[in-house]
Amino acid sequence: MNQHVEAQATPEKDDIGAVVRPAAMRLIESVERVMVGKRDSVTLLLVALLCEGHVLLEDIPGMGKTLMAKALARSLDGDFKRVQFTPDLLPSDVTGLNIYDQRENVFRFRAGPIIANVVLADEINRATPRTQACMLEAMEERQVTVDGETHILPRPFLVLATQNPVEQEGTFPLPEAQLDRFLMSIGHGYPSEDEEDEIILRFERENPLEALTPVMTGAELIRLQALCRRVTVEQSMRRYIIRVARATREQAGVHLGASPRATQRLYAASQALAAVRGRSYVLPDDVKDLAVPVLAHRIVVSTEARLRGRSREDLVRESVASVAVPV
Amino acid sequence: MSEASIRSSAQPVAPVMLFMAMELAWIAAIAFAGEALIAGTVSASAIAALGFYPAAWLAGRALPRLAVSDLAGSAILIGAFAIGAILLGWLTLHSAEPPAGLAGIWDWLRGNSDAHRLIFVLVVAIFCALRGVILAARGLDTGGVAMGFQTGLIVLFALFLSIAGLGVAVPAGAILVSAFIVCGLLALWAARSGQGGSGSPIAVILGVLAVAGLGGGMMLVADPSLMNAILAALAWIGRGIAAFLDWLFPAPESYDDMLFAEPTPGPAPSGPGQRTFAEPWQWLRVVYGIFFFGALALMIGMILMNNLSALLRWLRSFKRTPDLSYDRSGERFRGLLDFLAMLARAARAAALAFRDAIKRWFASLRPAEREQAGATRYYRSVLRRLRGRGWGRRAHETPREYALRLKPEWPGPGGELALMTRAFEEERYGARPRREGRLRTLFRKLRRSVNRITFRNDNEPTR
Repeated sequence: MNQHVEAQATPEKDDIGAVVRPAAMRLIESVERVMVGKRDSVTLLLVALLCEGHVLLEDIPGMGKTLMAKALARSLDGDFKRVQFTPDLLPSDVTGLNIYDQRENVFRFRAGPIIANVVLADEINRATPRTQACMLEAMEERQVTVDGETHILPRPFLVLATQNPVEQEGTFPLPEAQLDRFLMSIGHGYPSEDEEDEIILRFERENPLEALTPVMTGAELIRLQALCRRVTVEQSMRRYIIRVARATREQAGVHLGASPRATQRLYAASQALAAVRGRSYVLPDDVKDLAVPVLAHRIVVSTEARLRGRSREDLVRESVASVAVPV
Repeated sequence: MSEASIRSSAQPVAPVMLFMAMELAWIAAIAFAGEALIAGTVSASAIAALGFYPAAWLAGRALPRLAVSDLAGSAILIGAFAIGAILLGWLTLHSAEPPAGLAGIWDWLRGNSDAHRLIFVLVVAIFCALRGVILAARGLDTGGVAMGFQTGLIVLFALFLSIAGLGVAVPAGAILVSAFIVCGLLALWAARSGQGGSGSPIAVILGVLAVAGLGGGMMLVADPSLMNAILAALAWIGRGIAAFLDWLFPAPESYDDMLFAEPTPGPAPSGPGQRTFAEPWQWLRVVYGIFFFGALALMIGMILMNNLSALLRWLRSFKRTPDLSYDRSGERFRGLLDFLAMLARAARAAALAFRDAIKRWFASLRPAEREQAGATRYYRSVLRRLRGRGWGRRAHETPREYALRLKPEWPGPGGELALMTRAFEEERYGARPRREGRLRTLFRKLRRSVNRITFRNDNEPTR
């Protein structure tokens, strides 16, 4: 029995894809019971989950950002907390605070909503920079410090933040340092006519979200995360990833290119995507598919390029197209 | 004929050694021609070895007519061995990944069939040279010894092909022992008595038939990969027939379902050696094989016949003029100069190739075995062919994107390009080599399809 458990814990390197893919498909199908026609977004969300990254869901209201976060949280057997970010939200409302216990004459830590497995930071750009900044330590170092005392966050830990890119009034745009903490930024886009029809039918009588049950435990997710880190990235592929990231720094119209952290995250995300697709090695296609979600929100577009109507996504695509694929 | 009379035709040691050095080229040429046939593609090493063959032939023709001093002979000998060493060194680098350090040499030797073959060639060459020196010192004739060696080598070649075709792993030691016994016995037999054969047409025909029978036997035991190799070698002849057969028996179904479907774990693919005719026209391959082996047998028979008649001629002339002397005229000497000039050109070509191989080896950080891996080689070959048709891959295109772009233009279902792309990806990015036999079959199909794809002028920069 022990041998069986051990064999399950450390499969052969070639079998990584065969182990990760079924589990990934289970989670994707669970989320898709609620989300209609968003396979790519759900897959990216899963990739972020597998390489311990955080996701910024950037879309207009009513596109299902919160719904997707909830569906993912319900599909995972872990704690889920939601924080509605507003201008009057304080850092202690997120991280927690020490409260004086009069009976025992001691300060007791009351955990904030950040101490959970999946945290939904809804409309994150509505909070003040001070409150946004309190997320930095949690997202990067997976810990919070309150009154000099450090509290380690549980694993797995995923922050799903949403923001509305259109309505900018009364918002505080996320600073570059904060954006860099997000592994990827995902936008859904409008559904097709058929998909919209399916959405209406699916939610006609009951909310399918209520029927969702966990399909993956935290321990299984941690094991899958460890497996994804073992996915082979051939030397020339590693160079390719680096060149893609560097190309954004040299791209005309980009004021600030992708950071080395972005390169590192693109590497990890490529490994996770390869595993989700059932492979134990990374292909150039994986890198290309991830370049926009992983890099676009990290670059700063120059004023001139912005005036010319060139988006961050366009610039990243151009950067990728300027790099030769190793064959 | 007594041994004493043969001793009277004693020759200088250096030319004998030179002659034996040229035997090395014989062996290398034959061995690597066989290797090329088995691999299904003519590699640079095989071309180099085959290019060396004319030099050996010229030496064989020129040397009996020459009389050079031992000093000049020694110089030529050293040069010949240097060329042989360069050639073999280059072949080693080209065909087998060398060990990282001295500590890894033993494991490399144990686990590397290419190394076995090279060692086999080297040891037999050294044996040839030593044997030649010993026999020359004892006063025996070079020509007879060489004929014995050549006959033995032909037998070895047949054995080599049969063994490789069967896919049987034979220890290098066993090959060497058999080589020693066969070559040694035949050489002595030819040199001492000249009892090799009557030289009559019936005997020659019987010999050819015997060799043809051997060829047929080889064909029957050889696995399909050998057959495929033969087909690859004769593809340029059979292209028209194959196109006709494709038209007559179109591909059974679309491969679309297989196109880039995510892999699912399943049973391991069956290995080579299973003679199954999955397609109705595959029986024609057998006919191809018979023709090929017939030609091979004819070639071997002609060599044997040539040798036997030369031996007989020599024996007759020996009877007439027991005291064989070398012709020192300038006309005959010109043959040596021509040969040396060719040798110099071959040496230069070998040196340049050696330099390129060294540069590639050091400059490229990729492992040498990956350079030689089957799917990568085949895929790059397909890329070159497609570029030649105006459908080059763009630098930023991934192999999958490229395959998808070509799909609408591809003649037929187009699944073979997707399959080759998949095999290439697994090998190139995942270090998971595929089965050579299947790749070869796929490559042949691809090559036919590429030849049918519409030609266009593409001015876009490609790689």
